[in-house]
Amino acid sequence: MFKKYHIPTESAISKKKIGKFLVERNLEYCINCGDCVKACLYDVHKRRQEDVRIMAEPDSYKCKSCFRCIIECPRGALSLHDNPEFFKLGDSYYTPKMVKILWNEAENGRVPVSGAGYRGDFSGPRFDGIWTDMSEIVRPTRDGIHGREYISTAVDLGRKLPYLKFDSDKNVEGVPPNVEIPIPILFNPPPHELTDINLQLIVANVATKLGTYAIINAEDYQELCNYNVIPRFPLDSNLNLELVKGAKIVELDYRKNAMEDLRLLKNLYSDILVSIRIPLKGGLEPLIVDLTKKGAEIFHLYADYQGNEFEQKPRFITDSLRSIDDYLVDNCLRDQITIIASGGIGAAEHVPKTIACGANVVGIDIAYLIALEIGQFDTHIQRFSPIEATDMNLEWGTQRIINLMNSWRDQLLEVLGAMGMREVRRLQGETGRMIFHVDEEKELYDLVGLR
Amino acid sequence: MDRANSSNCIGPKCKENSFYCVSLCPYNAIHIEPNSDYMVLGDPIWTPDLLLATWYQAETGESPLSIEYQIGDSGGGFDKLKFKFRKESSDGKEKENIRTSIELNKRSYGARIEISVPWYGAGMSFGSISLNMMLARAKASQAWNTFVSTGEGGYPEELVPYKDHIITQLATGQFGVTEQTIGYARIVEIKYAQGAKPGLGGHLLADKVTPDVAIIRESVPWNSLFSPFPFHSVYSVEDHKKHVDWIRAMSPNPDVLISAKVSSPTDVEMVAVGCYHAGVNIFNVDGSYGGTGAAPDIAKKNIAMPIEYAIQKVHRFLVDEGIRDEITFMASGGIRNAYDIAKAIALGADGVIIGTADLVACGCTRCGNCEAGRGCPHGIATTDHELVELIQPDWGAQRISNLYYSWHNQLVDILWRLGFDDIRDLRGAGLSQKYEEYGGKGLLQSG
Repeated sequence: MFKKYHIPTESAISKKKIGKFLVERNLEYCINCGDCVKACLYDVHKRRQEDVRIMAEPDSYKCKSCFRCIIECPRGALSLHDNPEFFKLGDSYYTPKMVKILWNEAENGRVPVSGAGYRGDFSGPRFDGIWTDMSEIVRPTRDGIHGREYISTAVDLGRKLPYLKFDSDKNVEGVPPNVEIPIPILFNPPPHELTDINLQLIVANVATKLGTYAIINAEDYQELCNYNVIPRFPLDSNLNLELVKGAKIVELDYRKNAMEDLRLLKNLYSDILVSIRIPLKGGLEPLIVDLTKKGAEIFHLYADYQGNEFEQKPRFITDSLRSIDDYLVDNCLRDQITIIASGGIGAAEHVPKTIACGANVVGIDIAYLIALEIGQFDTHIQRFSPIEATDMNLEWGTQRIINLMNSWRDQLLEVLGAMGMREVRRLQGETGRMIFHVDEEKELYDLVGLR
Repeated sequence: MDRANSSNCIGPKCKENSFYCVSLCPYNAIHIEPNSDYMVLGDPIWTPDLLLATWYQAETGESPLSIEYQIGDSGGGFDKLKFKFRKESSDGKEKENIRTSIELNKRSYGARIEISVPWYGAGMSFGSISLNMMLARAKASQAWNTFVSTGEGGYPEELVPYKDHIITQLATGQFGVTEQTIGYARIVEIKYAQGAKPGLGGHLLADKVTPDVAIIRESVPWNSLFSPFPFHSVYSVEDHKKHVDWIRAMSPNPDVLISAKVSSPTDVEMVAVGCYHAGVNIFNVDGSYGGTGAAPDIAKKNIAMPIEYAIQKVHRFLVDEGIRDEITFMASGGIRNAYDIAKAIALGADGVIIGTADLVACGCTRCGNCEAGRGCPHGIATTDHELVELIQPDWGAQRISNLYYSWHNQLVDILWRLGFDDIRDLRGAGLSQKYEEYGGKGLLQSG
């Protein structure tokens, strides 16, 4: 019988308690009347346990900045401030807001829902300049996560035939090996300062439970071979093919003789899939077409941790992918290969946007580190402080990332549902179902006579 | 001395005055600093100034002097457009003849309904907001000869005295909709989608499904209500027409007007034409930055386009199809003040629909906690028996009415300064670069 894909969530409480606001009580003005206790719906204000005549210090972490206590206080003794600790979270790319959202998603695994309309900037750079489409009326696939009908988030890794050929017994000939994963998300290896085996174990564990894959260093493969992992041969590593015996998928950093190495691997292990990992740069298109024609099956195109190309004047990953996708379509090759894109995927909405701009699958990295509340980092200079992963509780860590993935998948379903799409495979390269802020703004400004 | 009443302080610019307390105090006991609460309040779309300005207008009915009430800080859309005025403001008699009313029906059939201001109230259901708040809005709508929509949560009996100014909304969950409530209405609104959550049905989370709400919605208390998407009776444009015809046939009022509320996808102009051919009188596009009582954050931010971009598409396509003057096009979702109203109309809408601003007038701080728990701490978006008492219908109605009064004055002023004497002439004028009196330079400039 058909089994619906399900991700088991369970509360995994955040250890860091950093709220966005600080509620300050000016003891000079406070008359301990307790009106704030009645006013607050969120238990920020209480009387002191040891002496109920006096108000306790406000519990700012619970504050939702509704201003009710400030309005009700008869003495103007309360004030609200931004919490400086909150603004220290993350960095310029992974903003404090994104970090907080990731924490909440990792804690409860749910789709973040709130009241009142959108409260951010009109549009923004990178992913924030893209909106996804919706349809008013389509067939009954659209109840999203609450619905009766199934929206598939499964994607395939591997090469596809442009058309089918049949042999004399009417069997399809020469179907290349494929691996189906139930969510279009892979786990990129953590930054190498953080290649702690405990951390790799958590990620590999998550990947296995979810049915997707985690990319790890080939050297660590034997230790993790019972998990869903993709061993990777970095550029400077020794290509010791023995190391990856038993792996279903292997990743190879692009090198001059990559195609020969790919063939070596394929000859040694039948049905193995090889992904070629290429740093995103300008002008990659001909190379990818060339490799595709020579038989490459999966490309992992990675940007830096902020989603930028490795260039002096980098384009963002979405622009980069769009041009590669277009080029492959022009060469009638796009549907034959799989593109994994990674770098800068830090929020649920980045997944459908990256896929619509040309990827089949996305890889995440910093996002799961944030879910694990791992130390300080600065993705701009790619620096990470040492981590506390060594003694991280395996169960807690695993559950955090699983929760995050459930939240992201459910949000992907919301986006697909709104577009009337039945499966994420169909979203690949669908820029026509995206709304680009630059285009819309130009259209309007041309009409009203603005430049 | 008691504490200073800082909210009356006009700030450091008072320095120029002879009575500047800071320099007058012989003991340097007074100092002025920015209010930390102000720094925390608001967001780029509803800036602290817009919130304060709306509260001020709701309290006094006048435009504030030292608060920015015309524009937000979102860095796009209405916040990057400004009018190029040709005349100075005037308090003179000339403005008396400026008209702000619009027609809600341009078809040959159906009632002729004209509203005195170019806006009406958006749907907010019983459950998402309190009955007191609904009554406040209904009373204000009656006072201003306009409308307010029930939203998708039934038609509480208490609203019936205001039925001539209430739109019955029919949404995908059809909660609390009966033949009787459809019969009350001069306008029935079919909500296909909502800007804040395009492509998703309404959300009312378990905490807010109180027994009162459950009764009117014919559901079970404390169980989340997610409306389906789309209408499971409408999977095609033909079905949509059937829907419209069905309401017309069912309503005891042969002149009932039908409004279709949709969101803003890439093909919104096609949807507009489809709605026209299905026979609707009012076509309402709800932009993606519109309000909601509960919606997934991913939908609010990412799905569909803001209203600023959708208006011109719809307007121009309807013009090209030759049907612009047979359908009333209302824009909603992110209309915060009188200047937004004028800009939306200048881009091509006939009028606009107001939601969040009504709530802000009654004390909403836009903290965004409407979705769960006991609901709104200010007694607006809640049905908690204790909290709802914070808003009394008459008080709320007066606040909204004051805001509308201020907006109306501002609109008249905008029209005067642009050289129009009828709001209907403003429609689409911002798009016309050839607009003669402006020397081919257009009505709008970047702000």
